[in-house]
This record gives sequence, C-alpha cells and structure tokens, in this order.
Amino acid sequence: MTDDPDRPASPVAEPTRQMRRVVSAVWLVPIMAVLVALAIAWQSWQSRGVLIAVTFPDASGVEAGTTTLRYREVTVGVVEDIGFTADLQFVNVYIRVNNAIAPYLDEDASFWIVQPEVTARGVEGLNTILSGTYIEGTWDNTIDEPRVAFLGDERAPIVPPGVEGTPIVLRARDSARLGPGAPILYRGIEVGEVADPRLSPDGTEVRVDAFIRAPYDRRLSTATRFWDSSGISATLGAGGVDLRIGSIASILEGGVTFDTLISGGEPIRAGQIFSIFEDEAAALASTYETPSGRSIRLSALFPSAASGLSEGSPVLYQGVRVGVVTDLTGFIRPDDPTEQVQLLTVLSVQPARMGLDNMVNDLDGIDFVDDLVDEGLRARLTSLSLFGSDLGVELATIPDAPPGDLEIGVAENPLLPSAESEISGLTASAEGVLDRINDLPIEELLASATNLLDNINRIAADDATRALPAETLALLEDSRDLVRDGRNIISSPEVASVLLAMSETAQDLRAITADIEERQVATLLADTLEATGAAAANVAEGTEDFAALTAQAQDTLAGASALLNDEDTQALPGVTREALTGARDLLDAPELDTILADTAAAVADIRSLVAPFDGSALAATITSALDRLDRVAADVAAGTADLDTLRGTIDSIAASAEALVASADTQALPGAARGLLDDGRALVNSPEIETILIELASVTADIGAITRELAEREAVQRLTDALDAAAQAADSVAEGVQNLPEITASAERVLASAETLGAGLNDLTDKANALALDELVNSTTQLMQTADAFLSSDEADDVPVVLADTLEELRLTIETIRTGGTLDNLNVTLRSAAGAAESIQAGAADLPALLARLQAVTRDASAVLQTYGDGSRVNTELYTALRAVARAAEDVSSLSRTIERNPNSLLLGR
Amino acid sequence: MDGSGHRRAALTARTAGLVGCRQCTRVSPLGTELCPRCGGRLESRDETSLQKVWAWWLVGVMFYIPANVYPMLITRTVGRSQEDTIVGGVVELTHYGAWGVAAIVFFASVMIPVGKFIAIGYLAMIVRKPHGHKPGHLLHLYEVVEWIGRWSMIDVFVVAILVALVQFELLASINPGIAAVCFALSVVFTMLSAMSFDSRRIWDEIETVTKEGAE
Repeated sequence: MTDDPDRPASPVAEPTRQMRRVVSAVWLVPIMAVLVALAIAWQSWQSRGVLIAVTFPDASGVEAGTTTLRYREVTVGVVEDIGFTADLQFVNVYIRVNNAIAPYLDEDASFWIVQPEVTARGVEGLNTILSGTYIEGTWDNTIDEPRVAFLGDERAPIVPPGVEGTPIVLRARDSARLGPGAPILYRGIEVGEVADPRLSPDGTEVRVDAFIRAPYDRRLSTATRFWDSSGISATLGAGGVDLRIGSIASILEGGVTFDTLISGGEPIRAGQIFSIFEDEAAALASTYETPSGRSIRLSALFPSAASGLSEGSPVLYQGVRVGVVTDLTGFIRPDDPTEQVQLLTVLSVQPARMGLDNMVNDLDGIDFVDDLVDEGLRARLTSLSLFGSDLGVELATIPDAPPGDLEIGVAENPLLPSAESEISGLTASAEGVLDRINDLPIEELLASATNLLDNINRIAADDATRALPAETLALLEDSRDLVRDGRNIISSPEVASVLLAMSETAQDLRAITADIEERQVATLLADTLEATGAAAANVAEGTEDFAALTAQAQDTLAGASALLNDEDTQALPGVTREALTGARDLLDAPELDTILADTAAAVADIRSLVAPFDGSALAATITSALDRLDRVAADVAAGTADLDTLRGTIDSIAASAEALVASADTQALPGAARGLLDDGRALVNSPEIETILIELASVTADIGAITRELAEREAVQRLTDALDAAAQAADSVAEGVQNLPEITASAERVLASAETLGAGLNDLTDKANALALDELVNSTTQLMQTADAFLSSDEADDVPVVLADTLEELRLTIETIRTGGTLDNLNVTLRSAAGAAESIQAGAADLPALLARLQAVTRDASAVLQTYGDGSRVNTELYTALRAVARAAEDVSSLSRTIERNPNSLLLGR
Repeated sequence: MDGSGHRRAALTARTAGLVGCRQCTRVSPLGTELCPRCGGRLESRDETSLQKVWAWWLVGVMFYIPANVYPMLITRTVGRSQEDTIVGGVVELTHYGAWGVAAIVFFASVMIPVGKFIAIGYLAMIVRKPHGHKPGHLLHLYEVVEWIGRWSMIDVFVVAILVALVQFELLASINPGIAAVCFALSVVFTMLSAMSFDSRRIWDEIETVTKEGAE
C-alpha cells in the first residue's frame, strides 16, 4: 500500500477475492443451439430419403440439385447427382426420393425426362419451359420389393400414369408408316397410341406396344382386326377413284384403326398380339379366314408367260379369295412331244373356303377339288384391275369345257386343267380400235375433201352461179303476175255465169230424181236384181265341169301352137303387110276426108235424134230399160243351156287356129315385123317428124280454141242428150238380149275368129321376142339416141314457147269465167243441189224394198251358179272360152301397143 | 487516453475501494450493492463476463457456419431458381466485373464478422492474465468492435430489402435463404458477445503489470 494522493481518503476494505466459480446462464444458449442443430441434422438425416439411380441415354436439361422428380405432378424427389456409367454409354441420374414414395419404387416403376415437345398432335410439356426440365416417374400403387437402380425411358410410356386400359402388341411387316405415338383410332376416335416399334426377336416383323384406353378396350376381342389407316390412300379401280385421307396427325405419324368386324371373339388378355393389315379391305378379308382352315397345294399350267402374275397373287373362286399363288416356274410337260415351256403355278388353296365343310386331311380336299373339276372347274388367268396389269388365278366353272381331270403325277402337285385366259379384254379391244383408226385412209379422205372444196369454190365463183339470184327474182315477179291474173279471172263475170248454169243443172237433176221416185224405179231395180240372181244360179249350175274345161283349153292351146307352126301362119305376116299397105293407101285416099265429114254429120244427126228426150223421158226410158234388163237376165238363164254347143264350136276353132299357126306365113311374120321396126327407125330419123312436132304445137293451139268453144256450148244439154241416147241404146240392148241364143252363137263365131287371130298374134309376138330381141333393143337404143338428138335441137326450144302461149290462153279462159256473176249463181246452184239431195232422200225411203228384191236376185243368181257346179260341162267350156277371150284381148292390146310405137307403119304400110 | 502517459495516474476505482455505477457513474464505496442514486446494481467486476463473452461468441460462430454454407438468396427468374451463398455471390459478382460491389459485400459479410470474432476472442483471451499491451489500444479495439457491430447487418438489410422489393411472382422473385437468418443471428450473438465483455477488465491486468514493474 502506498500513499498515493490520488487515492480516495477512506479506502475501503480489501475486497475479498471470491474464488468461487460462477457459471453463467448464457452458456445455455450455445448448448441449445448445438442441440437444435443436432436435432435438425438428425431429422434431416432421417427424412433424407432414398437415393436411386436412373440410367438415361442422355440427361438433357437435367441439373443436379435443381431437377425434380415428380409423380402425378407432385415433386417427390430431387436430382442429387449426375454421373456416367462405367463405360460412358449412359448417364446415371441420382435422385433423392422421398421416404414416403421410395417403397413403391419397385420393378414396374418407370422414369422419363419431360421436355417441351411439339408434335403433330399438339404441344406437350409446355410447363417445362418455365419450370425447367423435370423427371416424371410412374409406378403402381402396390408396395413391392424396392429397387434403387432403374432404366429410364426415352419418352413417356404409352400408358399414362393412372389411366386404365389394356396394353396390347401389334405386329406389322414394317413400321414405315407407324411412328412412335401414332394414334389408335376406333371409328375416328383416338382411343390409344402406339409406342416405339421394335423388331421381333427373329427379325422378321415389327412389333409395336400399344395401349387402348379403358372404356374402349372392351371393344377388343380375338376377332378384332387392326389395319393401317395412316396417311392418304388412293385406289383406282373399276368402281372409280377411292381417296381416303386421314387426320393430319395420322398423315404425319401414321395411325392404326381397329374394329371388331364380326362377333364371336373371345376376351383378350393384356399383351395380346394383333396383326396390322394393309387396309380395311384386307382386314375384312382376313376376318373370314378360318385359322384352322387347311391349305392344299395344287398346280396349274398356263401356256404362256403372264406378266403381272406373281407370288402372292390371289386365287379366286367365284369371286372369293380362296388361296394364293405360292410359286411360279417354267415347266415342260414330260408327255409333251413339242417340249414347249409352260408356266407352272403352285396354288395354295383352302378347300374350306370353297365349300368343303369338314376336311380331315389333304386327301379330302383333293377329292373335293377333283369333283369340282369333273363338273367343269378350270384354272385360268384373270385380270384383277382395269387394264389387266395385275393378274390372278381364277378357278372358274366352265359349263361346256372339254373334259379334263385332276392330273396327279405330272407335276409335284395335282395339276388342275387350265382354260383359255381372259386377260386381254379391254386392252385388246383398245388396241383393235387404235389399229382401225390407224388404218383409216385419212390422207386420201382429206385430199378428196380438199378437191371437193376447191370445186365448190370454183362453182361459187362462177358467173352463172352469181346470176342465179337475179333470175330467181325475175321468176318470182312472173309468178306474182300470174297470181294477179288468176285473181282477175276469179272476179270475172263469166265464172258467175258458169255457176248459174250449174245451178240450173242441179235443179234439173232434182226434177229427174223426183220423177224417178214417182215411177218407183227402185222397185223395178229390185225385180231386175232378182232375175239376175236367177241367172247367176243357172251360171253356177253351168260351171261344173271345170277340170274338163281346163283340159280342153290345154288341147286348144296345143292346137294353137301347131297352128303357129303351120305354113299358113307363116304366111300371115306377109298378108298382114299387104293389108297394112292397103290401109295406108286407104288413109292416103281423099275419100277418108269425106268419110270423116259424113261421120261428123252422122254424129250431128244422132245428136238431133237424141235431143227430143228431156229429163222425164229419160227416167221413163231408164225404167223401161231396167224392165228389159230383167227379161234379159231371165233369158240368160235360158241361154246358158246352149253353152255345150258353144264349147264344141270353140274346139273346132282351136283346131283351125292350130292349122293357122302352123302355116308358113306366120313364120314369115317376125321378119316382116323386123322390117317394120327398121322402117320406124328410118321414120324417126326422117325430117318429117320435126314438121309433125311443129304441127303438134299448132294442134295444141287449136285444141285450146276448141276448149274455148266447148265452154261456150251448153254442156248440160248435151249430157241430157247423151243420156237419152244411152237410154235408147239400153232399150235396144234389152231387145237384143231377148235373142241371147243367137247372140251367143254370134259370140261363138266372133270368139272363134278372135281366138284364131289372138293365138296368131300371140305366137307372132313370142317369135318376135325370140328372134329379133337384140336387134329390137339396139333399134330402140338408136331410136332413143335419135330422139335425144332431136330434143337437143333448136326446134325443141320452141315447145316451151307454145306451152307459154297455151297457158296464156288458159289464163284468158279463166278471165272470161270470172266476168259473170259467179258468186250469186253459186248460191242458186247450192240451193238446187239441196233440193236434189232431198229428192234422193225420198227415193232412199224405198231402198229397203229394193234391197229385198236385190236379195232375191242374189238368191236366184246363186242358184244359177249352183247349176254351174262341179262336173258341169258348161262350166268347163265357159272357162275355156273366157281364157281364149282373155288371150285375144292381150294380143289385141300388144298389137295396138306395137302400132302405137310405130304409128307410121300404118301410114307407110310397113 | 494515452495509457503510457497516465500510467502513474491509472488509479482504478477498485484500487480506491470504490465501485462506480455503470449507468449514472456515481461512485459508491466498495461493497455497496445498489446505487444510491439510480438504484442500479453495483458490481466492481463482472465475474461472469468472460463466460458470457465466450458463450455468445461460440453461438455466433456456430451460426456463422450455416450462414456461409447455405444459400443467402434464392433468386427465381422465369422458372429458373438460383441459390447464392455469401461467398458464392461475391465470386459471381467478381465474374461480372463488379469488383467494387464484390469488395463491399465481401468486406461487410466476411471481413467484419470474421474480424469481430477474432477481435472479441483476442480481447477475451488477453484480459484473463496480465499482458503487455497498452490498455488504451485494447479499449480502442473494443470500441471499434462495438461500433462496427451494427453495420455487420448490412448484408441482412440488403437481403431484406431485395426480398421485399423483388416479388414479381413468375417473372422474378427473391426469397431469403436459411443463411440470411443464420447470418443475422450470428451478428446478433456476436454483438451480444461484444456487449458482454467487461471493458474494465482491460485495466486490471495492466495494473498488475505496473505493480510488478514497480516492485
């Protein structure tokens, strides 16, 4: 202790140095901190989780400590480390997984890295753009033996976590159109997808894991068929173009469609293997394949190579595919002497699809096919497509096939007989058509067409053609003038007067008709008809012996033939010639004019004679004429009895005609005829003909004048006169008919001479035909040529001029007709006609009685005809006579034709 | 304040048999329990001071370890999350060329805390037995440590401000890591450690030395 002034004055007692150790409570703080730290460490150690290793091919975007493991989008772990496997082939990602999850990570756990992915079906993993890549894991909800090492997947498994469904395996020939993730469609709905294709263990096919989601996997059965629906399929066939386009996704990634096409399938288990067919048709076709159907192997020989037929070509039976071509080789039949190489096809055929129900072994199938071959089954090549490029083998039943058998022992397999193929079809036809088109003379045709067009050009350019329209115009103007003239004619008063005259005529006619009614003409007519009926009955009796008549006619003809051969007949032409010469002299004689004048005077007399008869007298005359006709008919009935004698006379006529024909003059007749023709030709050549034609023109003019004259006369009055004369004539006829037997005898004579003449002329004509035909033709030809030359001469041009004059005359005539009060007279005429019609109606009231009489006449006529029944000689002879009359008429007509052709023969006497 | 100059005058209250109140500075006779003026508890020397210092120091160091190991900031920008420790952040800043910022962060977050640990530990170590250091220097050191302690929280402040400002949901967000809490606790415990140090002890041992030197 020192005395230090700084020290306080009263030092306190020396502090007792307390050596007691005091522990501060602050020490609790670090102890607590350590304890807490230890607790935390312990806890984190405890909940650290399990470290698993997942092996990936690469670990793009995976970062240690950052990348998480997620399960159903919940983070259940974190990547702790990333490393490589020992051989640096893979990346090991070490993931610390939560303890709660770790027990579930057994062998069915799968891991994949989720990255943003843009595919054809959409964008996936978009959230990873923000959150970064993460690892997704999936596993089932059962605790199994845990594992810590896993093989990661490259992409998400096709079975999404927590999705129910059925995994299956698809089998395809190649996966060209089947990418991973390709959709599986069921009727257009995406019901699943496929995973990565992989090769099957033996490398022959591709297998793809696929997954069908839950509600749709009930559609799966063993009968389900899958087919490739990817992309675009276009089929060109006979039915048109079939274009199918799938969804965009299926175009890019491919796709598989399935359907259960038939019922009866059994339920499947997970992992069932299905085949993918090319298309729906193939899938459908496969539906009908009986898996247990056995195949037999057959062969067929085809004569030639068939491009388009290949292994796998179908074998069709009645349009159904029953097998396939399995092999194609060249083949020479051992029993073929020509050693021709043929195409041997081996067919694998399922007889079950051809109708064989239960085939126990191959022999059954071959027997079955053998039976079909006996019924006509043949193998032939057939075209599968429109243009025949794809061929198949068709087993066709040909009804009329040549006999064939299923040959066993020729080739390795039973040999089916083959038939001619129908390959060519359309192709051949098309080729034929093209060939024909090629063969067409198109060049020549074009040349001809060019010439034709040139000619038409020339014609069109010709001046004459250009003058045509002007001439046509002139023609039309002439026509207009003509029509104007016609109109003037119709409006002329002459026409009116004509109509007035017609009216008067009609009035007269009505008076006549009324008179006829009064005198009951109809009744008389009925009587007449009755008599005619009786006469017809007699005729019927007379015409019995028809056959005999024919025979006699034949005899007559024979006689006529002999007559023609006779010398006298030969001499006839000469005589005829002389007669013709005489006739010409006669015509040349001036007395003929006198005769004609006399004739005209006679006609005038007759007219004056007939004139006294008026209309009422005419009716009376007709009545009396009918009365007489009645009697005539009765006499005919009596007269027919004499027909037998008539036949005898005809016989004798035939005999004399025969003698005449046989005469030498008849033979000379053709020569004379020939001379006659020569003369005709000379006549035509002569200049006189031209003068004749000129005169003809003047004659035509005269005719026109005569026509004018006639128009001026009273034609009606003359008609009345004529009727009066006819009535008188009928009266005379009636008188004449009373002497029918005499008439018949006269007729016999006339017929006899006529027949003689006719037979001679007939033979003459025949001979003329036979002898001088060529000369005749030549002469005619020359005649025609001459006529042609004549017509082309200048005089022929005068004819139209004359014709035009005639027409002008005609026009004048019509004009004169027009100048009368035509229309008024027409009205009067029509009224008179109406009156006449009324009279006719009254007369018709008596018609029933008339008809009754007519019926009676018909009955009598029928009786008469019956008398001329079979066997009657009258019948026969009448037939002969009629034949002779017909022949005579023919001969007269031919003679008149000859004279008509050569009128100058009459003039010249040749 | 010059120790050497006042060595002779370095009469401590304890030597004078007095005890000074640390709150109102009234000097009372040694042995007095309570300050007659402010009622404060009078104690000539805190016997448990060093224990407290060491205890708080230890806790502070303990918290400083995770504060550096675990991430201080968790930055999420558009799905990407980045965790930065203190040193990592400094290194990253240097990579970006921000040397100044890196230096500040490094100074505030590493140099100061570590320096404080060393300083406190050195003082607590040295005052237990007589030492040859001038008490004035030691007192300066202690005062610096106490003064700078409040600035040690600059890192935590930065983190707190960033976390409050940058919250843009998906685009960007910054969250404090576990290290921020640890760092803050470490600073707090370090300050407690520094406050627990009884600076009067600095003088006691000097006295002893002087006494020995006088003898």
